[in-house]
Order: sequence, then C-alpha cells, then structure tokens
Amino acid sequence: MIAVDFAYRRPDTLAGAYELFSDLARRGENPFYLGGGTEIVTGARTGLFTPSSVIDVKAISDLRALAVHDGRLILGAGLSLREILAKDPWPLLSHILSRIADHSVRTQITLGGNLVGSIPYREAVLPFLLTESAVRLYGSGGDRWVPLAHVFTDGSLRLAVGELLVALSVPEAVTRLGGVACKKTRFDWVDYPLVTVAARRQPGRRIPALAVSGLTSGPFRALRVEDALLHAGPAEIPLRELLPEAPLDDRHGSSAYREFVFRNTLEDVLEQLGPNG
Amino acid sequence: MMEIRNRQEILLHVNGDRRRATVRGSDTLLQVLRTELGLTGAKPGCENGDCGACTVLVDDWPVKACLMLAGDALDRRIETVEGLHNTGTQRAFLEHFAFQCGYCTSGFLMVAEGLRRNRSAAHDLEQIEWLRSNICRCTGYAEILAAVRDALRSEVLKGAGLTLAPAASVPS
Ligand SMILES: Cc1cc2nc3c(=O)[nH]c(=O)nc-3n(C[C@H](O)[C@H](O)[C@H](O)COP(=O)(O)OP(=O)(O)OC[C@H]3O[C@@H](n4cnc5c(N)ncnc54)[C@H](O)[C@@H]3O)c2cc1C
Ligand code: FES
Ligand code: FES
Repeated sequence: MIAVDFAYRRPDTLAGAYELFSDLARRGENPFYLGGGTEIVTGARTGLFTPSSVIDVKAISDLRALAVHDGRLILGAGLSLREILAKDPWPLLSHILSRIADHSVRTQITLGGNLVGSIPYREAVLPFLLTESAVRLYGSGGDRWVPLAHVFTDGSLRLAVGELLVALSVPEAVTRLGGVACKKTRFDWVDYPLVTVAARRQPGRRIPALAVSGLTSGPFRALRVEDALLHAGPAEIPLRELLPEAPLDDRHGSSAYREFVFRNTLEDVLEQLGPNG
Repeated sequence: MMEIRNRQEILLHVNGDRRRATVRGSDTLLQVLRTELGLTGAKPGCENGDCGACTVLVDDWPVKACLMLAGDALDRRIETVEGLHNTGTQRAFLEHFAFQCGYCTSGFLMVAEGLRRNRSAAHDLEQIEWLRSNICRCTGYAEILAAVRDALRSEVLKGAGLTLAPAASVPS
C-alpha cells in the first residue's frame, strides 16, 4: 500500500502534459510523469518518492510511435518493452529487452521509463549507445530532436525540469547489422545485471562497438575499451584506466568480481561475433 | 483529461462486470481489487514486482497488480483468479496438485491462463521463461509446469477440434 495520497492524471497531448507539469510545479507541488509506473509505484510505497501527482504520459500518441521515417526507426518512449518485443523492429534491442525483468513486468515497463528511471542499469539504452541515436524531447526547449550523446552523459539522461522524453530514433540500416548482447547476473536469471554488454559489428573495424551496463554507476559506450582491444585481449587490457569510473562495489558484487565478470563477458561477446567483430 | 483526485468513484471492468470502486490516485490495482471489490484471490507478497503472487490479467496479459495504479487500469479489461472458476487452467492445476500452501497459486494460474491465451504453442523454454515471473516457496515447480503444459495441450487440442478426457468437475 502507498501511504501518501497523490492525484492520477492522464492528459491527451504533449502540450497538455507539459503545461500540467509546469503548472503543478509552479504551485510548489512535486509532479512526476508516469510511464509503466514500476519504479514510481515501488518507490512511493517505500517512501523513496513522494509525488503530489502522477501524469500518465504513455498513451499520448507521439509516445506510441513505432515506424520507419526518412530512413530512421522511431520508437515512442511510451511503448512497453513487450510491445517492442512483439514487433521486433531491431533484433539487438529485442535481445536486450528480453532480459530486462520478466515477461509480466515487461508488459508495464516503458522504453522511456527505463531510460529516465533512477536505477543505475537502464539496460534498454545500450543498443542506442552503439549508433547515432537521437531523442525527441518536449519541454522548455520546445519540441526538438537532439543527438542522444548530447543528453545521455555520465550514465543518465539529462532532462530539464518537466521535459518529456517523447521518442528515440536510430538509422534503420543499423538495425540490420549483426550484434550480440550478454547479461551476467549474480544468481537468478531474472535480476539486475552484474554486467551486461551489448556489441554491434562496425563495418571496416575488427573490434565491435561496445556498450556496458551494471559495471559502473550508469550505462556507457566503452570507446576506450574498444580501442584497447585492438592491441590486447580482454584479459590483458588495463581495464581500470579505460573505464569512466571504478566498478561498482556493492552487495551484488565486489569491484574486483565485476571486473573479472566483465573481462569474461568481453571474451564471450568477441567469440560470439567471430573474427572481424 | 482523465483524472483521479482525493477519493473518487471510478468504474472498473473486472471479470466481465462493471464494478464501482472508490479509490485514491495512489491506490494500486491490487489494493482496490482486494479492499474495495472483495476480490482477494490476487495476493500481496513482496509488493515489489518480484514474486508474482498478485498477478492478474489486464487486456489478456499477465500484470503484477502491485505495480499498477488503479487509474492505469481504467478502460482496460481486468481478470482475476475468481474469473477462472471451472476453466481448463483451473482443472489442470487441480489434477496435477500444482500447489501446497496455495499462496502463490492464483498468480501462477493467471500466468498459465495468459500463456494459454497468447502463446498456446509456446515451446518448453518459453513456458519456463514465463514461469520465471513468479515464485513458489513450497513446490519444486515440476507440478506447476506439468499443469501449465496440460492447460496448453488442451488449448492446442481444442484448436484442432479435439478435447482431453473429461476431468473431474471442480467443487464450488
Ligand atoms: C522485478 C523487476 C526487475 C527489473 N529488472 C530490471 C533489469 O534487469 N534491468 C533494467 O534495466 N531494469 C529492470 N527493471 C526496471 C527498472 O527497475 C524500472 O522499474 C523501470 O525501468 C521503470 O520503467 P517504467 O516505465 O515503469 O517507469 P516509471 O516508474 O513510470 O518512471 C520511472 C521514472 O521515469 C520518469 N519517466 C517515465 N517516462 C518518462 C518520459 N516519457 N519522459 C520523462 N520522464 C519519464 C518518471 O517520472 C520516473 O521518474 C526491473 C523492474 C522490476 C520491477
Ligand atoms: S506482490 Fe506483486 S509481485 Fe510480489
Ligand atoms: S504453494 Fe506455497 S508458495 Fe507456492
């Protein structure tokens, strides 16, 4: 049971959602956008979040897009992971999504909620970090597409107050390139990752593009690891120097253990992709 | 714009009926089903999305009712274990003794029913993958898996115009 009381609201348009958020914030309230609600509901129950209102945005038509437009695949932030898996527009993304939570929670988790949420894993972002992805944002800066790399920094999506993540897009050609994903958990099949690695072939390069979750406090594109792997194997590269920060050290796994698992996962991924990345 | 503020009466579509409930915007579907509508089949376990004891069907798909706000369930078809009375899925669980204390059973029944409706031709690995959403602390899962397989088999046979041998009727 959630002890605090808050209002539930479901606007029909992007403008309606943003105006409502801004209006409530101006009045000193603490509104939250609601995607699948899996993080907000559990967080509100334990007192981690104390929303005054939730603004359910996932049914707004712009957040429901799933189409190819001008050579780019567009995925609405309000789509549930199950809905994306059912259409399977990008096999590497499906591979990653199919290992997030379990089938029934995937019916609720939205693409946008997974990227914006506060847990450090945000595994759904991994395939998007491997290519020139863009995000559609709606808020004080207007309705605009920006490169994902400009707003996804230090492992999380930097949104302005009240800004909505509307959709993501990638070049459609990229969705046809080979790729693999490998998730290692501590014990159970359904669990947050110790390490998840997504890898995509890079035409003309021996080492694939790599993106990593679980190892540090947020997902990252491992460009420096990719470069180092051109000269040495996963067991030899000076990993600590190549990561954005030290590996996590928590009850799921010590820093040293995560590093060990990461090196092994890299071996697995390179082997699965075969020679020439 | 749809809105629930303070305590407000809403209409939910549950087990084929329109049911009135007075809810807060912060009430979960699980809480409303149990305390407002008296449908106590869906159980509170972890209330964290991990155990699956609270599973119901929403528009035919299994959902953890502890993770869904009641407002989110407006305009959607909700089915609880109470709606599975005298169905093939219920019979399969009885015939295979797929429970001991029974606390997890309604959740597993809803997962089995969701699988039957959406993926009746699911292969062995997919069946196991579906059962991973729920936890049972008593059985070894083998009986549950056998019941799920039976429920799916009867669905496949039905699709071919055949039926399984008649099962014992279920006491009400
Ligand atoms: C049992 C279980 C296992 C899980 N396992 C994993 C796992 O292994 N890996 C993994 O990555 N995740 C996992 N998750 C999911 C993760 O923990 C979050 O619960 C989930 O990603 C949140 O998504 P949501 O759509 O439910 O977001 P919500 O709870 O609705 O929202 C999360 C945050 O995002 C904001 N938000 C939502 N949508 C938007 C939008 N369009 N624009 C701006 N802000 C928005 C909300 O305001 C809120 O702050 C698991 C969850 C559960 C319950
Ligand atoms: S009570 Fe809902 S998943 Fe455990
Ligand atoms: S029968 Fe007791 S928890 Fe499953």
